Amino acid sequence: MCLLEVKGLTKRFGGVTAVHRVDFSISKGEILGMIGPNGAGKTTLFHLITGFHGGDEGHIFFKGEEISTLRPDQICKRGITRTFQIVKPFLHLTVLQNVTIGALNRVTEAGSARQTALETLHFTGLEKKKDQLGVHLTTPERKRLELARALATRPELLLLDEVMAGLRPKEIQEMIGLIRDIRGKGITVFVIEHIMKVIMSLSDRIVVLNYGEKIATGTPAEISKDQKVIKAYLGKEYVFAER
Amino acid sequence: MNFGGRFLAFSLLGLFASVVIPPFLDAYYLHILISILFWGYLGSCWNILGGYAGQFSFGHAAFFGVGAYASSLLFVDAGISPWIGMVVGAVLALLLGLFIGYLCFRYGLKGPYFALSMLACAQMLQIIAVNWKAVKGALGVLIPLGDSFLNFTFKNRLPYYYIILAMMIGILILTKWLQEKRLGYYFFAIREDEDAAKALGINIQKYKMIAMALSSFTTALGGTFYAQYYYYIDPSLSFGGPVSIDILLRPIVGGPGTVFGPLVGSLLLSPLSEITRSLFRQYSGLHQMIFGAILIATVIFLPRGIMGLIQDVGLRVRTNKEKVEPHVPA
Repeated sequence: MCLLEVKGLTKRFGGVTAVHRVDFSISKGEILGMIGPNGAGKTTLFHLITGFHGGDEGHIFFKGEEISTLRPDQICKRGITRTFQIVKPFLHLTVLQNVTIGALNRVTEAGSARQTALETLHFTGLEKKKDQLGVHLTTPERKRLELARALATRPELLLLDEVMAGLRPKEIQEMIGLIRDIRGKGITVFVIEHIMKVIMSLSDRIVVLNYGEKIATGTPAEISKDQKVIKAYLGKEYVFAER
Repeated sequence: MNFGGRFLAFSLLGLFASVVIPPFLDAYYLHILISILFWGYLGSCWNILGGYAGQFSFGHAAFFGVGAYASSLLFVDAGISPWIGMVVGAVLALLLGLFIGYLCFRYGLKGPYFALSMLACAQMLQIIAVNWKAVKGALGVLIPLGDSFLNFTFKNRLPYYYIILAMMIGILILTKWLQEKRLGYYFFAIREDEDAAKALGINIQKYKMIAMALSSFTTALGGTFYAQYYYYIDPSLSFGGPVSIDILLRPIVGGPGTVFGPLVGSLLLSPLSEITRSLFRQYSGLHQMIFGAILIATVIFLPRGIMGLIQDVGLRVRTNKEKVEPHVPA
């Protein structure tokens, strides 16, 4: 079943076309990866889907309904939540308060939201840090908090913007496990990632952007053989990494 | 006894003392207590918008003045009880708050821009009040002396004390209540990071407006109290810049975004202001210089106010205790 469908989406900033007539869709329950060189428009696409930017052309359908004119909070209520590339923890609140705010998306009562938050913290392995202030967390912990907070809103579609950046190999392995567990709960995941090994092993399918245009979609195996992709993006770097 | 229990015992003791002791105090000390509660109350009203929701208003005198003028004019010109005028003023201030709030938040004015818009609003109202005959211009409004509960005028200071005490308790309960609710969590989220708040499903425009409504309504009630206590208001006493500063100073020094911060700040600053005012009568304005110095020191050394300091010490004590307890592997 098609959960999210993007049709002819275009976004211009002055003379720069950041996203140009992009079409793709996400099926329920899959992990879709998105790659592309710096400035390819990946994060802009996330901003468009979650309502932080308004698109200039095109449509976004979530479960068959147009969402491209909605505000971020309305889109979150519909069931799409995102994380930010540059994490935005609530610095002067505790980890538990941070995640409780996410959980309040689905319940109005603070007590039951706190309960959901505790479960989410357990799931993401942040339980021990629950009374710490956001400002006292390390980078990997902040990434986890960002993820936990988004999860607590009970999304159907979770957009992860480079949650692995800045992590060490062991932490990356843990994060991959966590994302698989999230999918195991029936949540569809759309993930931007720069680390090739991660995106290749994690994704069911991959979308490749370059200069704001979609140049390929397919399974990781197909993508890694696609001449356009190798030429435009993977090129030398990929060959280098394989060695 | 755990921390919560001890805290409850302390507050009950404080409440008991603040009800029982004042009848035995002379007028001057009673005035200082009233001053503490009055500024603590106004600070708490500001705190909902400025401390909790993080929308730093530099012009709360606008709401204060609307409350003071509405009840006073209704009383003096139409003979309507200030108790009714108090509510009318609060509703007017709420409408004013929603109006400015809509303009500011709709166009995303944040931080210093919002603060200055609020300041401009208060200044405009002051100029209007000075020049508008119908509100008695620069002369101000004189409340007739009297001694009747219905007219909110008393010969003795004690009734004023109990009224402002009740208002203080009311705002403390309101603040505590919203802190425990979704509303409080959402205010904090907006204060900390608006984009993250939006991404988590918070309609930030709506919640800023709610904070504004609560804050403007309650601030105006304080305006009526002021008019009835001092029997006199004029444009600068109601809408002036110093009033706005006096309102926000207590919560900032005491601890913005905490239930008791404004009261703690007021416990420190209000007696200081009263004492310097009576000790150095010939140097009027000296207390404002002292306030300025305290404000600078607070911003540099205690950015989260006195309550922030207390919380940090509490946290350190608790984490030390945890370290001492031996870790038993499961």
